[in-house]
Formats: sequence, C-alpha cells, structure tokens
Amino acid sequence: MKQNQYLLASIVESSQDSIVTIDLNRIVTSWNKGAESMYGYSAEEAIGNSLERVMLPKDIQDMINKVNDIIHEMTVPIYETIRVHKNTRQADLEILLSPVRDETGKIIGISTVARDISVRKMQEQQKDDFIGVASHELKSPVTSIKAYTEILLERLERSDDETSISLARKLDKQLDRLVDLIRNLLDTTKLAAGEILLHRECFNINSLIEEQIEVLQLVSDKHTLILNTEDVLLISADRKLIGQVLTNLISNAIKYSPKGGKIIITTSETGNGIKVDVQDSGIGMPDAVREKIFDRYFRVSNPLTATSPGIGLGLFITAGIIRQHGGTISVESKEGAGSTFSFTLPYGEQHFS
Amino acid sequence: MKQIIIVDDDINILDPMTIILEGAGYAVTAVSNGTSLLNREFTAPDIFIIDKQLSGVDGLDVCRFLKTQDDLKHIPVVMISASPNIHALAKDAMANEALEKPFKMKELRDMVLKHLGK
Repeated sequence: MKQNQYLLASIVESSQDSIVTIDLNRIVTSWNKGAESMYGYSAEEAIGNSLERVMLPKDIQDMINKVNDIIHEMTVPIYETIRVHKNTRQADLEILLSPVRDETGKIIGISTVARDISVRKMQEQQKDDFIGVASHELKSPVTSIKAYTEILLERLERSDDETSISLARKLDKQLDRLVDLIRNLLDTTKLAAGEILLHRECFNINSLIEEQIEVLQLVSDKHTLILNTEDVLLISADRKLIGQVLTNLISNAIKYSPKGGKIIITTSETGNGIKVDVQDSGIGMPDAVREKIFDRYFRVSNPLTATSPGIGLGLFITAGIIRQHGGTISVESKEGAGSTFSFTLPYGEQHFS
Repeated sequence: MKQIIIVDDDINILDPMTIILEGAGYAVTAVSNGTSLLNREFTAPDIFIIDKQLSGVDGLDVCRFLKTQDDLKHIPVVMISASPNIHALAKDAMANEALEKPFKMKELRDMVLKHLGK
C-alpha cells in the first residue's frame, strides 16, 4: 500500500500535465510541478487559494456548474478552455475533471488534469487559415469553368447531339459537387473561427421544409418525403442557413436509406421554440458511430456507404449552424432500423406572438 | 437594346458573363478596370455589374461613387464577389443586388432580367 502510494505520488509529481485537486468550494488542496510551470504559481502560493485566479472571469460560472455536476455524480466530458498564467499570458488547455472520494466513497473534492494544447490549437488555426484562403481562391476559377460549361450545355441543347449533351450535363453536375465541396470547406473554417454571421428573419419553418421537400423529392423516386404538420410555426432565424441544415439532414436520410421508403419530417413546438425531426427507415448506425456523428471529418466507415461522396463535414456544419442559433441537435438510431435526427431552435429575439 | 456595363479585372469571368448576357439579348460593354468608371469614361448603361475585387480600386468604392452621382444613382448596380459577406457589404455600398461566387449564370441572367426586362 505504502509502495503504491509512493508510486502514485511520484507519477503526479513528475507529470507535465497540471494535476490539481480542489475542495468543493474550489479551493486548491494540492498542486503538482506541472501546475507550477503551467500557471506560474508555486504550490505554496496556490494551496489554500481559489482556483479562479487562473481562470478568465467569463469561465468561472461554467466551472461552478461543472463542479456541481460532479458533486451530483455526473460525468463531465473533457473540455477545452483558456487559463491565465501568473504573468497574464493565456494558454489553451484541455481539462479533465473527476471526483476525489474519501474512504467511504463520499465526494470530497475534484481533481483537475490540464494539458496545454496551445501548439495543437495553433496548428488547427493555421490549417483552417490555409483551407480558408485556398477555397476562397478556388471560387473564381470555378465560377469561370461553371459559366463556360453552362454556355456549352445551352448551345448543345439546341443541337441534337445527345452524346455531347449527356457529357456536358455530367460535367456540369460534377462542377456542382465541386462548388458544394468548396462551400463546405469555407463554412467549416468560418464555423471554427466563429465567423458565421446570422441574418435573422421571421419565417414559417413549415413552408421552408415544403420548399426543401419539393426540390429533394426530385433526387429520388424510391423515397417519399412527408411533412407531418400543417401548422404555421414562425421563428426568427437565418433562413438560408436553416435551409442548408434541412437539405443536409434530408439528403443524409435519403443517402442512408438505400432501399428507399418514407422520410418523415415532423415539426412541433417546445414551449420556447420549435423542434424538427427527420426520420428515416434506413441502415441506422451503431452507438459508437452515433456518439461521433457530429464531429469534424467523421465519416461512417460502412461498406454500404463507402461509395457515398463527402468528406465528413456536413453534420459538423449542420450542428454548428444549429448551435450558433442557440439550438440543440441530437440523433436517435438503431442499426438496421433507421435514424431520427432532431434539432431544436429557440423562437429567436424577434418573435412576437 | 438595353445596355449593360460589366466591370471585372478577371477576363475569365468577364468573358463568359458577356457571352451569356449578349446571348440573352443585351448590349454588353466589358470593362477591365474600375478607374475608367471613377473618371466617368462611359455612356450611362441600364445596369452595372461590378466585381468587388478590381485592380487598383475597390469595386464597392466604385459602386458608392456611382450612387453619389445625381445622373447615375438610379441605375441598378449588381456587386459580385467571392466574399461570403458580399450581401452585407453591397448593401452598405448602396448596391441594389449582390451575387456570391460561384453563382449560376441563370441567377445572373434572372437578376438582370428582373431589373431590365427583355
């Protein structure tokens, strides 16, 4: 036992990660060497003082909430935050909070393990900047190619050269895919940088869904798209972006139910906003996939879908747009029995009813 | 015949836009720099189509200039740009319309048609 404790203490002491314990009032009770170098305070200066002095004021309430969650036996997922060094320099950290228990199992404090992710953050930023600039620069040549293709197609359509018409249509369609890809890449970098600006307007979500159904129904005659409500549901949101969310969810529902069937879109009121469900009866997904489905670049590795185009940005962007509106997004799914993607949106500031 | 002036320093955009709009029955004058507009070296058209990014001058400034000229400010201006913020920027510069690249030529044609008719 003694040996074991010694070993543990030595691991904590020599870790480059900051390992700190706090009591239930967020007062520091232990502070390792990693914490000393990460925050600039010695153990002597830190112990007995609040952890809040290494935090930004805006993050304190969030920390209090997380501590409360742990006290109530809830698990807090690893999260990213900014902490402040004694010399006021700020660093991006990844934090894991877990409960510290006494012999009886009662929670008496919380351990916080923090890892400096500034380098990773900087690399992500550089990558985003690069993708942003590259895709922006692609827009002009693509506009030009697309324009010439459309001209060519229109001319050919006046002839009776069916083969050339068919080739030009394929070219045009592939260009549309390229355009979508560029848009997605740009949206992703804008989301990551928090640069997606919302142009809110008041509109009826059900008429937007009807418009989407009209367009997307043309994509497949194996699927029947159904809107399961007749009411007028007014919200104040960015109509273009919410349209993009719906297109994405409905296209996914079509894509992942290769045998066809009904795709049911249901809208309802939640009390402070609206909820939209997009339900398919397709291939569904296992839990391990479901948990990661909104992550960036995540793609389902499934032989059924291996040929589906995409680089795994659609749902990342979709979730980002919903969160930017103050809404939530989730998915229920069963392998082989289909998936239901649901999102909520608050009515929005300009809601008068 | 209705007159269109297109200002874009990228010949690869200027050229197909000219073909499309001429094909739709308009007379198109293609201009590759914005300074000639600022110097008023043109005959007033029925609509302007201006790229935001021009060599030497910002297309938005060209738009603003046109909108301060008593004899020109009634002429519709369409701003085009690869910038996703072009709608807000164009509005701010008093442009009537904005198109974000890449756009479909049909969108351009419909927009011109809306303002000029056949």
